[in-house]
Amino acid sequence: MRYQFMMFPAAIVASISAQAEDFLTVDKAQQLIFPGATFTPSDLTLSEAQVDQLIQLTNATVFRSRVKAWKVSTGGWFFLDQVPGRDDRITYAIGLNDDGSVKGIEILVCVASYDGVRQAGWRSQFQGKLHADGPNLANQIANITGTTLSVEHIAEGVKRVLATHALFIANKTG
Amino acid sequence: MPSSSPTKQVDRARPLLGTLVAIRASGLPETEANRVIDAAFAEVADIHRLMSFHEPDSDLTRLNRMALAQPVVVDERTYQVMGQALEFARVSAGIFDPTVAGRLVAWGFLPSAHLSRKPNQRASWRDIELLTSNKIRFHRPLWVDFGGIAKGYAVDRAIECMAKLSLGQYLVNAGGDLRVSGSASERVFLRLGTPPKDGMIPAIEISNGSVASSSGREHVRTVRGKKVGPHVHGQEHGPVGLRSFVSVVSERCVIADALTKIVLANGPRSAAILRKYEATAYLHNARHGWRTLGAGHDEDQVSSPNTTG
Repeated sequence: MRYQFMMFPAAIVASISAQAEDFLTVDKAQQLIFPGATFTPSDLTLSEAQVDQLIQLTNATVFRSRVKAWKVSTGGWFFLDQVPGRDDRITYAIGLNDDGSVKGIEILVCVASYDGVRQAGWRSQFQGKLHADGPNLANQIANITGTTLSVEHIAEGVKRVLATHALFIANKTG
Repeated sequence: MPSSSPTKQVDRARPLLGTLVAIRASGLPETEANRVIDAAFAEVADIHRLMSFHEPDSDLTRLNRMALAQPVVVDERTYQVMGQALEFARVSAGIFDPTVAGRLVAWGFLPSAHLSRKPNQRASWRDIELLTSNKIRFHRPLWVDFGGIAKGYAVDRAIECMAKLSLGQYLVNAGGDLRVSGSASERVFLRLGTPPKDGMIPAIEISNGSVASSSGREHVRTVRGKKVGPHVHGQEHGPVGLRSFVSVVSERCVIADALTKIVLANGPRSAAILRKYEATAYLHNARHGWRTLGAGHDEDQVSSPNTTG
């Protein structure tokens, strides 16, 4: 084990954490959850009444009426969803089996940033300095340690997707 | 064949253990990297399932409901974590205590579902008995929570699981408690819970080791007029770390994770325990700034960290 404690000018950290952490593309997430399958886009647009129904059932926040969904050739459904994260939105995918049970969840994009560093006002004081830092810091995904990031929004999102499937897909297709 | 040549790195993340668990594999073909990462996620999911305070069927919930009446058989991993928790309780004279869950329920940091019998106010880690064959028994009504170490343990298991399967370099980060395997060093920024005032941000660079951090700063709430947080002093039963932040560096993440709780509660007096585990702590509060404690430091010294750049 080797380790070292250091201090970095905030401008450098701002330039690193300005990048979103891209984990997966939609294609890759699809193949990880449903290997070998093909996917037919089957987006839904929920009516106002359906949104109300969803809120009533899950107590979850419904951010948009359009639901990104794919029907899977080998059975089941693939959904793409976004929820608020600590600093920015988290984009994640969820695969459901035909019976509506969860087959897999993968995070596609999550922005982890240092406190306040992503806030435009705070960052603006470093504008112009952002590219002045050493090249060794480029392309680095920011590991940030501190108070544990909570993922209750993802849990809520999953609940909402499960209910969307149960109410407006499974119900319809029998 | 797609992706048979070694790729630079594959990064994946899933919501587990109540946080985002990110896993990176480097130096492997993409399909191999994904296979290894899948196995690591499965291991973390197992630990989540076994040691969740929230799940009605977890080993932990079964213990909290039944281990007073009779010995309860648990998974080997749950048994190991309990053994580790009791060891930390012993070496810290109860400052670290896995039986503080009653307090956390009362303060609203844990739910009280699935549990009927209230814990005895005087119950402590001393009332937990490890029997043979993965059996555990309680001698007083108590509620155990592994919030202090399960994440670190899961990180270690995920790293070990991948190292057994393939010869890559790995990083597992469970919401800021992380371990890196391999000689390449990883930079970890420390989020103190307050925006940086002097324009400088602390970081730890580490290879082949773990970093875990704890602070009560960001989750302070008021219960019956008293400020409380998610970390409890095992002896005094009051909140700790409401104004301080600590990162601990250690080879194993479970050790780093548990030691953060001891340092939050005991400050510079934790130096001996840190040294026992060959761990180093970076402790911060407004009054003293940064202090470095433990392995490689004779006294609790006020460090003047190097500035790079």
